[in-house]
Order: sequence, then C-alpha cells, then structure tokens
Amino acid sequence: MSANEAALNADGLTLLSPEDEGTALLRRAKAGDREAFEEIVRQYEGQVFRVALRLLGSVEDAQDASQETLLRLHRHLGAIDELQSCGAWLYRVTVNIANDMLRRRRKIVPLAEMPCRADAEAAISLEERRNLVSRALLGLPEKERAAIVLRDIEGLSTGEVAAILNSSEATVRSQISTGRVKLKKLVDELMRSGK
Amino acid sequence: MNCADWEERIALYSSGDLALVEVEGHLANCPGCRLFLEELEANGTALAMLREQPLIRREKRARAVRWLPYAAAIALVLGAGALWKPETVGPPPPVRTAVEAPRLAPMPRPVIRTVRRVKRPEKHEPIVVKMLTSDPDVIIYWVTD
Repeated sequence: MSANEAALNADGLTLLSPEDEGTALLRRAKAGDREAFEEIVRQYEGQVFRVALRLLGSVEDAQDASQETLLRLHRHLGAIDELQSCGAWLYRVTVNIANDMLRRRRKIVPLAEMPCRADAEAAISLEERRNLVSRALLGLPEKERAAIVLRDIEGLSTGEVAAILNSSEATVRSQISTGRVKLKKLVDELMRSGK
Repeated sequence: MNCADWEERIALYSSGDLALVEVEGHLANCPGCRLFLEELEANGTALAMLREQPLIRREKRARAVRWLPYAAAIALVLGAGALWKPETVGPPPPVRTAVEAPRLAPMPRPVIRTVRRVKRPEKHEPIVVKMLTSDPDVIIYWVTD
C-alpha cells in the first residue's frame, strides 16, 4: 500500500505501509528522537552482530564491532535516505569495521588450535557441520569471508553483495566460488585433524 | 580439464549462481565431483543455519555493552551527586558513635531581670518647714523633696 492508498482503520487512524512507517521512523530519528533511533537499532542489531561474529570469530570482538557500527549509524543517520537502505549501509559498515579490526588485532584463532570433535571417518551431523563451518570461515581471507558471509549466511544476491562490498559482480562471484572451495577444504582439514 | 578445474564452477553451480550444461555433463560422469557437490551443498545448508542460530543471549550482552558507557556515565553522575553535600544546605547528618557522651555540668539558669518601671513624682520645689523652739537661738528646719 503506498502513501496515497493509506486507508483508515476502525478507530479512524491512518494505516501506514511498512515503507511509510520506516520513513517516519527514520525522520523521527534524524530529528533527534531517541526512541525512534533505538527502534532502528532493535531492527538491525541482530544482523550487525551476526555478521560481525562470523567475520571476527569472537563474541567480544563482535560486540565491539557492533557497538562501533551502531555508533556510526547514529553519527551518519543524516546520510541515509530511507530505512530500506539502512540494512545495506549497515552491512557495508560492519564489514569495513570488522576488516579494520582484523588487520589491527590479528586475533584470528589458528585452525590448529580450534577444538573439533568430528570424526573424519564417520558421517557428521548437520549440527557438527555447522560448528565446523563456522570455525572454518575464520580461515578464509577477509574478502572471501565477507563475500561468503553476505551471500551464504545472510542470503543476499551476488549483486547486493557486490554493492555492499563496493566491488563488481564478477569479482564477488569469483570470491564466492573460491571461498566455497577453500571452505570445503578447511572443513575437511578440521574433520581429519579433529579428535 | 581435470576435476580440480571444475571445482569453482561446481561451487557456483551448487547455489544456482551458475547453470551450465557442461557442469551437469561432467557431474553425470564423475562420482568424485558429485560427492564434492554434495559436500558443498551440505556446507551451504550449514552456513544458512548459522543465520538462524539463536543469538539472543549474545545480543543482550551486545546491547548491554553498547549502553554500558552511558550507564556508567549516569551512575558516575548519580554517585557524585549522592556524595556531594553542599555545606550551606541543610543540617549535617547526626553522628552516631558508640562512645559515651561526656557528662556536662548543668548549665546555670539564666538570670531573668525584670525592670519595674517606677513612676517618679514630678519635680517640684522642696517643702521647707521651719520650726521655732522655745530657745530663740534654736530653729529647726525640716526639708522634704
């Protein structure tokens, strides 16, 4: 329903479409309404934390990255035109902050130190594979990891990932294919080395 | 073209990013690459599950950490406010101590002086009474205010 098609409910109140609600929320937040900003944060904090966690591999680092990302959102709120673009903006900022942290801290846990209980000889359960995959992700180069996180975990299209990473679709497609192959080999390695 | 050359194409094919008849043709004839594809698909499913992995507890912690500086600042201000007692406002709090208070000598009762106003008579000329005696050399004068 567009703004022009806004109907009245039984109480005579205007029913807003999700787009209109988002626009109103963003406008209020830009005007300094703290509750509106907190509502936006509530909508996106899960996404921000999830991506930061998969890129950084540590809850503490992910919390730091999330905090920094949301602070930047508050600082640059004026630059966001509509709430629908907020998600893509946050993906981009989260990836940038996480990559900066990785370069600065170099705190990735080496694969050899990762605990792994999977038995290479036995078929592993989906739960075990999820555990292995989340650990193996940290062994990927940062660009491939970002592409895999956005494409395969967040479920974005290749075009959306390319826009977020400020790259071409061809480059992202290459990063995704290379990343998946490397990820599989890392998972295999974990399965073989795990006790 | 050996199987290693097919890997990246199969990786794209596994998620539908690439639809090539050539890939399907190779898969049809290569059990190793079919297994490779199956494992890629399993990894893809596991990755998708990571999105659904509950992060509630962690999100709460993240939220707590986010607002921690603000909360800390507020606590600091409130704490400082509680400690700061301006000397000019209100009486000092009573000091409670286990030490017995010294016995002080009773204070002397204050002396209350009342001033009674006495109405003084108006000034006038003194009364002089001259009394003569039988002795001509003795004369008694009685003078009053």
